[in-house]
Amino acid sequence: MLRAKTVILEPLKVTISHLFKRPVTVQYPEEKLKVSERFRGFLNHDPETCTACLSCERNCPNKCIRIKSKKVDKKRVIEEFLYFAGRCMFCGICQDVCPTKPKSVYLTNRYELADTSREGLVFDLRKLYYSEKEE
Amino acid sequence: MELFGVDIQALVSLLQNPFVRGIGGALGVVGVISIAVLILIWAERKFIARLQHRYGPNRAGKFGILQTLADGLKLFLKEDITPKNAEKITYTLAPILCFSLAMIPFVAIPIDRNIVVANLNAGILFIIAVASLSVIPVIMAGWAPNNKYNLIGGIRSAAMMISYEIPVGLAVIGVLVLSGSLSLIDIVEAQRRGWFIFPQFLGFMTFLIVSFMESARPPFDLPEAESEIVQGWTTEYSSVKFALLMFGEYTHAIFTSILIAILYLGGWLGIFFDSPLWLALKTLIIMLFLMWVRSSAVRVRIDQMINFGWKFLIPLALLNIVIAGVLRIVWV
Amino acid sequence: METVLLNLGPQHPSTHGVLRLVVELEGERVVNVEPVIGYLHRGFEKICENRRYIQITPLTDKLDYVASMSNNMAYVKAVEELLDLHPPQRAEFIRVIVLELQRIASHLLALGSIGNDLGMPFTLMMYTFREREKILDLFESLSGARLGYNYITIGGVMHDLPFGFPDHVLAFLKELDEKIEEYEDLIYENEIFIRRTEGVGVLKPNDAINLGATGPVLRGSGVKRDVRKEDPYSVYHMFDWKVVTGDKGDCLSRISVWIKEMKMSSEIVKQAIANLPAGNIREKVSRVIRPPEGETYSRIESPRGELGFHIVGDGSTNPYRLKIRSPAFCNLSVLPHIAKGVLIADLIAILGTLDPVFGEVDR
Repeated sequence: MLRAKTVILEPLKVTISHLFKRPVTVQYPEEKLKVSERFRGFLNHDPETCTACLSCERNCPNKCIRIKSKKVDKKRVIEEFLYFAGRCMFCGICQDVCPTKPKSVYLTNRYELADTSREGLVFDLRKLYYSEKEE
Repeated sequence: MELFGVDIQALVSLLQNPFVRGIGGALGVVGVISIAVLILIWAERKFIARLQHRYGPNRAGKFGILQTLADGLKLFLKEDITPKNAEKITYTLAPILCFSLAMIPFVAIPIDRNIVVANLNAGILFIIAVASLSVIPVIMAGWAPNNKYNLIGGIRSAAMMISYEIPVGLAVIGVLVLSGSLSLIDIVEAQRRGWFIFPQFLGFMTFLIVSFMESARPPFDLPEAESEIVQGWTTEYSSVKFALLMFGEYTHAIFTSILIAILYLGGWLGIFFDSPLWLALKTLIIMLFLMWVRSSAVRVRIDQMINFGWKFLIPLALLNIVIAGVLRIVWV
Repeated sequence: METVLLNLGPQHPSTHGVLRLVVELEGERVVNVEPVIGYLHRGFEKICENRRYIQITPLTDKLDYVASMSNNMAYVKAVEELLDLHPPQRAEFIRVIVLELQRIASHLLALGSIGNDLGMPFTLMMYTFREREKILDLFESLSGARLGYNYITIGGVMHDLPFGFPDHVLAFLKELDEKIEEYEDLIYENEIFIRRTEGVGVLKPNDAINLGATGPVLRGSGVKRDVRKEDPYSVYHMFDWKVVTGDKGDCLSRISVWIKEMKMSSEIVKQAIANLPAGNIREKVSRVIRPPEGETYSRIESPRGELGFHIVGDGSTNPYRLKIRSPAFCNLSVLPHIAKGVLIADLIAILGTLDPVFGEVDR
């Protein structure tokens, strides 16, 4: 029973040793951790390299991609690429099955995606691509 | 004599009126303890966080100083719900009693040789007696809301209290044998030749363990076992009532720390000079020890705790009294 | 004596998820406990009947969300058996490395949670989660996600190891060895911890086998059964390792099994990295997978026990039936048998050492 007194000393030593180490907390949003280059974040689409095979739309588990395509000069082009970010689970299957090299559908490292409404989470990636090109 | 329209003679005789001094002292105690509890909660959160390798609150005010205030304000703004089949009078009375009974012993605790609100000859007896009363609000809070979690917490607290009252009394008897008087001021003065922690080490250990039980802190926080019975005896309380209950808990912790500092660590006696600041420092050290053990120890089970209290602490305290008696004869 | 029914409801600070325990109490002693599950049921097996084989892989991540790689592996192994496909050697070695690292991560979480349950608020959890974060960072550099990896796919693994990965893993394992000593100090040198867990919730070996418990629950009772040794899969037979068991079947034995398994996994990973072959990491599979008619049941050793997938294929792109044998569900059924006559505090400790994760129990 008297052993009880000495045996609690080990855990006390372990905890007090942490008093003198720098804490491991990362003070978000002032400090942000760097994500790796393979990070699966927000989707991005390159309409110029896309062949409109519709593999990504067919293979998405949650049906977050809706594509409208049309034939222009014997080639299929994308007319509208709707991406439902609210349904997406960022699994990366669309990126995996895309047959083009370099991939026309790929996941970026954007992860701060909160919005105030469900409608705000629906993006037309083709429009975004061309509007960013203009800038 | 008149000064600023106030009759000085009348004012002086008013201040010497024992009734007025009593009320003033009581209000002073409430004020000082409230501020101390607020600072203590902040210190506990930061200290335990550092032991767990993290920061603790640091957003509300610099270093998180205003965090306790923010939490208190949040509690005050919450909805005050009373369960349907609760006993309304007991339900409302329990937090009020918890808050007030916890503060009563402080009127008899001296901070310096001449500064005490109520200079009692049998100070220690009064303190132990009133401290024992503090289990009544816990049992009331356990029974009133008509909830099984509360009930389990309240019953555990009653069992715990019965187990620790006897060791506390016996440990204090050891101190009394060495000091020869029941008054707290005399006990501290008798430590001029040496703090009582050295001749009374066993008693000190007993009292330290019992202080965990008395303030329901881990590893003996059975009434409030958060992982088993949600919030224990404070489960159905919300808003102001909960704030008062928590306040009472922390007041208990401060109370036992101050008592240890006075009985065993020499109170306000210091190296070159005596001052109440030494008392505050010693209390702080004991409180830091309580927080340190809180973060490193798991909770004991109820039957293990009762075994421990009766089969280990009582023999230890009795042995301590024998040692005290021998020392009194041989050494003094 | 009269008994009281206490409802440790679905929202409780320490039932590891949404579990409802209806406990019949006599004072503080438990007379009978009845777990009520189903609060996280998502119709997983039914959803899978309407998805293609490649679409099901990220869904299996969400089963036992604490140990996603194991779920991926179990499913992919079943589909590869249906298709009679053999992934390349390098892929198998990478799979073993990743699975064993996942086992370490899952046991770290279990260790942290038991500290919480027993009353040491967050101390042990902060320490173990600090190490688990490092494993999650390794997995993020490997697969791109922190918790739902979708890394092991039909035919191999998705990406190759990034540059410097083996060195990072070896550095982490060296740190882990020191930290495991720290955890052992906090646990085995803590008298109160030992008194809370020793002799509590004893599960006899025969009962464990009859009730269908697997994993650390079974091995904690002294039964030497591990799917990796009985029914070897992948390249486990190439490494030199032993099955760890506890001796008494109480809570402390199960916790010690976790700690010993972490050390053993660390050994396996070091051997795997030393012998990593070069080569392809993914076998070429057709775009749309149509397995021939047939059924298979394949099982692996996940951190919680034997995880099995029974897939019935009927020649189309979707499986006809997909049934999951989840280890946490079978382990949880042991609870009413070993929790008779204990106190409430012990009930929570026993539940913690059974290590249920409700994504898996309820599917």
